Amino acid sequence: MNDNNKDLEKIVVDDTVYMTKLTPKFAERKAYAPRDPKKIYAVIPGVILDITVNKGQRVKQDQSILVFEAMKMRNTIKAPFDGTIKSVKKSKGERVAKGELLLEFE
Amino acid sequence: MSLKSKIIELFTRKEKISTGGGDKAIQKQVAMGKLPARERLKVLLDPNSFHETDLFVEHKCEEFGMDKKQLPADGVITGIGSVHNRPVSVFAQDFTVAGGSLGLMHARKITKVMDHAVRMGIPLIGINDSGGARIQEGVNSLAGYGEIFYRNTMASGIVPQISVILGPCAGGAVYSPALTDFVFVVDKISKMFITGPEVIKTVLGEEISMEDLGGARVQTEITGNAHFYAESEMECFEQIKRLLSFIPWSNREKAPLVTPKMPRAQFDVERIIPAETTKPYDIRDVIKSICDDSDFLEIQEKWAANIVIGFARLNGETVGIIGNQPLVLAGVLDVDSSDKAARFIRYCDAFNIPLVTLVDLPGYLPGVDQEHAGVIRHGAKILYAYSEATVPKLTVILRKAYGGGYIAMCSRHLGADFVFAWPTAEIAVMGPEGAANIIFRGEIAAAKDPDTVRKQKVQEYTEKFANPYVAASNGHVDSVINPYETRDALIYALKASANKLETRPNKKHGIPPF
Repeated sequence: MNDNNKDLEKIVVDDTVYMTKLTPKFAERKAYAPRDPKKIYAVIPGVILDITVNKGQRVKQDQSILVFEAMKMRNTIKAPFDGTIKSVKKSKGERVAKGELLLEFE
Repeated sequence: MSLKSKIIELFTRKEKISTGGGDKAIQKQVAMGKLPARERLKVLLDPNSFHETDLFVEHKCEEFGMDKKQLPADGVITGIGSVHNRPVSVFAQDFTVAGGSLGLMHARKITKVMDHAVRMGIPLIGINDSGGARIQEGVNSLAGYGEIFYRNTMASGIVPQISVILGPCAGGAVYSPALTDFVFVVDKISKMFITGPEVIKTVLGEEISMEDLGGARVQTEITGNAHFYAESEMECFEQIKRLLSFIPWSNREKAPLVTPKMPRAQFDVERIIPAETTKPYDIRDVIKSICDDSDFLEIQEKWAANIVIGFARLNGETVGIIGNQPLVLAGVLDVDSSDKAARFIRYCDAFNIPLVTLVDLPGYLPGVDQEHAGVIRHGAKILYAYSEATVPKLTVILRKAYGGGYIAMCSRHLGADFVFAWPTAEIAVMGPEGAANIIFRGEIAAAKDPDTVRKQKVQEYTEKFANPYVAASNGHVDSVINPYETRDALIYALKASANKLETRPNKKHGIPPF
């Protein structure tokens, strides 16, 4: 066994360090980052049909900010709170992948 | 017409249908590296053992010009053959006939051999090679799928169901294999997905090849949907025959006994197991040091490799082995390994196969990804499966058995019939470092030299609790054994369990944390 120790990695369980190989899934896992409520991401891949706000605009909670088509459904994305639009990252007609940043609040 | 000419007519009719989609289509199939459907059955089954049913079945569809289309055998070959001289029910979809598409009569041919398998108590082996639903038959094609899924579910736990994916198996069609016990895939030939690359591209704008989306490697390494991977169809059929040598033909019987053989000498426990509990080794070497002829059939080898499952024999009798794998992720339990083990435990329990559990794990895998992936719900499956199982349950604790992991790995408390421990076993609420840091937190923090005190306390805890004797003194372990006696101990336990009878309160079914 000792000959193979070169490709071993460390994993910690209850303060104990174990030498072991990693599964691809474990090796590729992403570190957790808390969600920033000011950033609006695409939760599903799709197309931006319309953007109803501009940079610098003040919006009220539940006001429609963009229309997003995914899986043949038109989804209206609403402002999660009262605020000001810091930047719009996408434009009308653009196709976006899951997880892409669409819009940011100040 | 004379009898002779009627017999000649029969042969002429049979021969015409048996050519399937014709030479050109068959050549195309072969060019893709695939065997024609009839050839596949020949390779799988004992020589001259195949008895075909429903050769003359025809589709009833009259829409879209289908009334003028003849589809030989309606695109699927069905019947009874034998493997290891024991009967099996089989179907093989014929891609050369309308792309192996499934219409109502095609499905009815399949459900007929499925019903036969359940009634007769023989395995069902399905070779899938189909473009999917026969669109011309509309909702009747969906009806066909539904009737197959229903029977897959009804047959589950009564007869072994084996799915061989030798071509595309897409859309709703993949749910039949998903409901069966063992799925076999072949490199570059098998393709399984619910929505294919084209749909994904048009709807979502994501581009991916069929191979990367749902090829054989993906299904055996990433998703866990398939259980056995082969480089070629020939290798795949050998794997199926090997699996069939280990398992009983139905839940009404036990697995066939074979002549016992001693393990091979090169698997020596002393050379396999490192002295330090934090160093890894390959649990498969321990399995091979215990089982007959060191012959172990591993299932789902590449997926969730932190737990090892598979079939082996002890004194000629098939057992299902579940072992933590210290070589991968230190052998922790996590979402995938719990799913993998739980399903295998339920398979063994359904088919009268005793369980042998080899324990060496530090616990459940910590991490946000695990918690958010539902490790509570998934981890519970292994507890459920072990507790529910009434087949003989034999457990050997090799080294670490800490915390929830100790309980989950077929402990006495979940109904193990025999619990053995090696003298190297450490059965404790957690590892010495973690425990000392919690119990002596104040003392360590107050010390002038916290590191020295910590080391001291870890040492104290290790000496007192990192052994099998505390658990043994409470009766949680039946006996602490010499590692070299493991095989003998398991064989004795298996013999002692031969007439095990464990009854449970009557109920319709439990509600496992699926």
